[in-house]
Amino acid sequence: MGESNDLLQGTLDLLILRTLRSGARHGWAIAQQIRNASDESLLVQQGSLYPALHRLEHQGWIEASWGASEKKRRAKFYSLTAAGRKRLHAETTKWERLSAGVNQVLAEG
Amino acid sequence: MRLLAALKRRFLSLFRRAQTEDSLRDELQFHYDHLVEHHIAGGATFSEARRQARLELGSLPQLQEECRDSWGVRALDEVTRDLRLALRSMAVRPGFTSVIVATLALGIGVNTAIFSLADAVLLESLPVPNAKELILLKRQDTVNERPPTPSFSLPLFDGLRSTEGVDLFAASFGYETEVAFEGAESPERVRLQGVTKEFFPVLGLQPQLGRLLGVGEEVRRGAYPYAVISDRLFRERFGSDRNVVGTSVRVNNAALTIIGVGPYGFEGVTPGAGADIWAPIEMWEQIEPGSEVLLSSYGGVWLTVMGRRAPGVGEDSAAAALQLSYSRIEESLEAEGSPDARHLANRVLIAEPGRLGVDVFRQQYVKPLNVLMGVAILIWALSCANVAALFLIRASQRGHETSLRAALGAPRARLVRQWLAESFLLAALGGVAGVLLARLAAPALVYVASTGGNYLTLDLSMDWRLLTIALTATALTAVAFGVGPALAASAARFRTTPGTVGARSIESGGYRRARTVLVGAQVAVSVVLTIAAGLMLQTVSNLRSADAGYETGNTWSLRIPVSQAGYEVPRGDQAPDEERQRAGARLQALVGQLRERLLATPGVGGATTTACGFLADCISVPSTSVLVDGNEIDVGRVREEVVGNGFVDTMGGHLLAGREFDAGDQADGPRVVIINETAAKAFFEDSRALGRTFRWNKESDLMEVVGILEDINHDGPRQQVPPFVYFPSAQRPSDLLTVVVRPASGSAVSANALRKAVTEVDPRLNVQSITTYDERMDSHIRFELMLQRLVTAFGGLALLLTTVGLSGVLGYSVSQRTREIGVRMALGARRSAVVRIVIRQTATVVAAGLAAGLAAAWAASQLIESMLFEVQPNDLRIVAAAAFVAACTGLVAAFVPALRAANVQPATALRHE
Repeated sequence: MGESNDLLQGTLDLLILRTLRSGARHGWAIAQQIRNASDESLLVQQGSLYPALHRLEHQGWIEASWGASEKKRRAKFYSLTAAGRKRLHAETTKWERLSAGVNQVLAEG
Repeated sequence: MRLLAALKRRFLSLFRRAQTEDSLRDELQFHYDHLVEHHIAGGATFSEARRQARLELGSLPQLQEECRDSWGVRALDEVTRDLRLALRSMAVRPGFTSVIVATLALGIGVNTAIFSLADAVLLESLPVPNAKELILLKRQDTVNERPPTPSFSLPLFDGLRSTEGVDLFAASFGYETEVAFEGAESPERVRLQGVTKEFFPVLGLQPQLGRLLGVGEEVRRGAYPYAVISDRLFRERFGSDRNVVGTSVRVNNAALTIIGVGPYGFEGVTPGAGADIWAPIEMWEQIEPGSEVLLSSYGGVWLTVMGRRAPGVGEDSAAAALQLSYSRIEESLEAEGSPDARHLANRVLIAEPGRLGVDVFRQQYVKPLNVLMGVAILIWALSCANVAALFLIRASQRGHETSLRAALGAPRARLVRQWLAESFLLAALGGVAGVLLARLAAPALVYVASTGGNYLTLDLSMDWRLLTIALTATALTAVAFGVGPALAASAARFRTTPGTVGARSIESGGYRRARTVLVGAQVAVSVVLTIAAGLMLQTVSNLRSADAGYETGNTWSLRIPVSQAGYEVPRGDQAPDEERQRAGARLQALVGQLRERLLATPGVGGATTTACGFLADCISVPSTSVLVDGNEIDVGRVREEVVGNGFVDTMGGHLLAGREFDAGDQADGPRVVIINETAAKAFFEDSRALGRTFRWNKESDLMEVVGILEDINHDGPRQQVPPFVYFPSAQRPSDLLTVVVRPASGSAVSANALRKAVTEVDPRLNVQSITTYDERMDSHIRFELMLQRLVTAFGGLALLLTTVGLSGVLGYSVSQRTREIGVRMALGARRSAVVRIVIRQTATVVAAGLAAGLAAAWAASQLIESMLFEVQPNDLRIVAAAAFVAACTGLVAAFVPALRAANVQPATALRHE
């Protein structure tokens, strides 16, 4: 994996959780969603997506189940757990506070 | 809660291994497919799209690894895999595996057995409640430099009894005697220990059956004819028959009733010298008639004294209180002007922690046990070296595979871990087998260690401490033989010559060197043990054949308690002189009859009587106040013996001057004595003692020296002979009687014949014990014997292991060089030349090992020098013998490999992979 940038890792987690708030998705769909929702400014590194998903699953924020994709193929769908929902809320608040603070400092400059 | 769920997931993912792997692969495949489609949709060709997708996603296996990483079970996962791989490779090679496990089992088992023996002898507390509160009393000589002695007299114990803050009891040393159980046909030998009434109550023991002496009942002197038997006797002699309680047992002169059985595992307070029967000291006058001297003299120090501190009393205050009592007793004796005061003078009382019991035997065992533990560690090192060599062979064989894996990117740590997994697994198996072996071997060890009738009474149960030792030994073993080859294997630089048939790798020189060193080390260890065994064998032989100043060998000693049969001689102050004289005359008549009857027995060359005899457990009261020409001379302890006529002749001793006692030395005649050479030199400055006189002590008559005897060693080869005074039995009747019988030269005489002769003289006489000098000598040198047997056994074991190891390594070396041998033979070399190669290789290793071993043995034997007797640590004969043994080992080990080398067919060898 190389050095993991904690900030980046945490951000990716946050994005994944947010994406899943509106419903269960499989890995590919999550990546697409993030790309689209950010107007292509955020391209998820394919290599970090799945380890992140598995980590989140292990930590209990998301859960997985197998189902059929739009193209009728077998795919693994992830969805938020109740704990995950709470976590998303907490992390979002934290992120907002962080970015607000950063903005403030930058504006001062 | 979350933690629990997370843990559960991790656990489950361990088990649903395959499932999870599959699903991960599917998931990634799904993503990959979509990525490809995405790129195709963006205009790329199929192959380009695939390449692009692969680049973006990264290598699939790596991704799988990272996902698995996030599961957090990677480490455990790998270890499990390593273990499974190790198990498989072990199962594939049953021969190799079993040799290794057996070797390890021996190394670890021997260690555990010896440590359990050492633990039981040296460290185990007495099995009584609150053993920490116990104290052991000792007397310390403040004038002479001697270790404190735990021996006390009964009157001194009586005086100390009332000390505040401690509850004391006294117990004799256990000694073997013959007793007659109710209903038994003949007397049996058991260990008897005399104890005062406080013994069982103070120790706080509970009887297994019946009741214990002195617990809850009054014990009156002379009126308490009871005994308690030990648990071991109960089980082994009586087969746990509960009816034994209430039966009677005849101990010497007294009939006692068995009132109970001691608790399980309790065998007295002297570890290593257990007791089978406890009898009250209060009954000792009945049990051992004639013991009044012992019981009332401050000089008869035959008891050990222990006690328990009262609650709240510290060790120091107890010691102080006891010393105070002791001083008071000493002062009052001095005030009375009693001669007994001298027994207490110049000594102080010490109170040591008594948790370990009376430690006299322990101390004797310390040195031999230390030696044994050293031996055990050597054997363990040897077995590790053996296994390491075998492992190196394996490493060499797997070299090709290992270098491949290293080339494929396996991290070195991973390779090392795999090796270690295998070594730990083997060590674990070896450890388990070793512990089992130890359980079986420990009783065998005890049996070998208990020589000469002094059986070690030890409880060798496995407890957690020993298991910890076994486990530590196992772990160390695994590291010892696993790490080296592991590092070597993972660092292997193998050259595979391309184009040759197969990919036979050429071995790096490091392996060969390492193997040689290991086997050389094994030879060295074997040499050390062989020399040690040789030294001990020589020591024992020297001890047994040591010149004692008299004829030894088959000389019989018969201990006969004559007072049982009505030949008591009352003490001077207990009966009028007349009575004493009559008793003395009766005894002397008996002595004469015995001598006559025994001399008439076929095969007997000489017969006489003594009091204590030789190499005997005997209590005599030495004199410290011999007066020559009215002056008390300072010669330390002067020992006495009471001997019958014909003493010197029977013993085969040598008179330097004067004569033996004979019929002319009557009870009412002038007092005569024979003294030994040491006494002559000590008493009379010019050593011309013949005809001179002295007094035994202040009250005695003047004695004339009529004979000077060349020193006879009564106490064993290692002891210096003290001054001895020999009294004629006619003039100093002693009802402590030992008959000494020497067989005529060239004949033998049986114990039964002697017994019969004795009973013919007087049917009431009972021979308490009948032993030859050799038997008693073996008992006397039991530690040396024990060491000799054990070191020899372990030496043999070491040689066996070394032979196996050397043979294995040589065999492998031959198979490695098969092609080379084939080439040589194809070029015309004869078989004998090939065999010479193998022999030369063996010789190098053996010679190197021998040199190292000799050096190590020289150093090590300095350590056991104190146990040797009349043999130097670097005795040339023993060294030569060890070299010879090493050479033989080499030859035996080289036999099969040399045979194989000689039978190499050049044609097949050249095709050999």
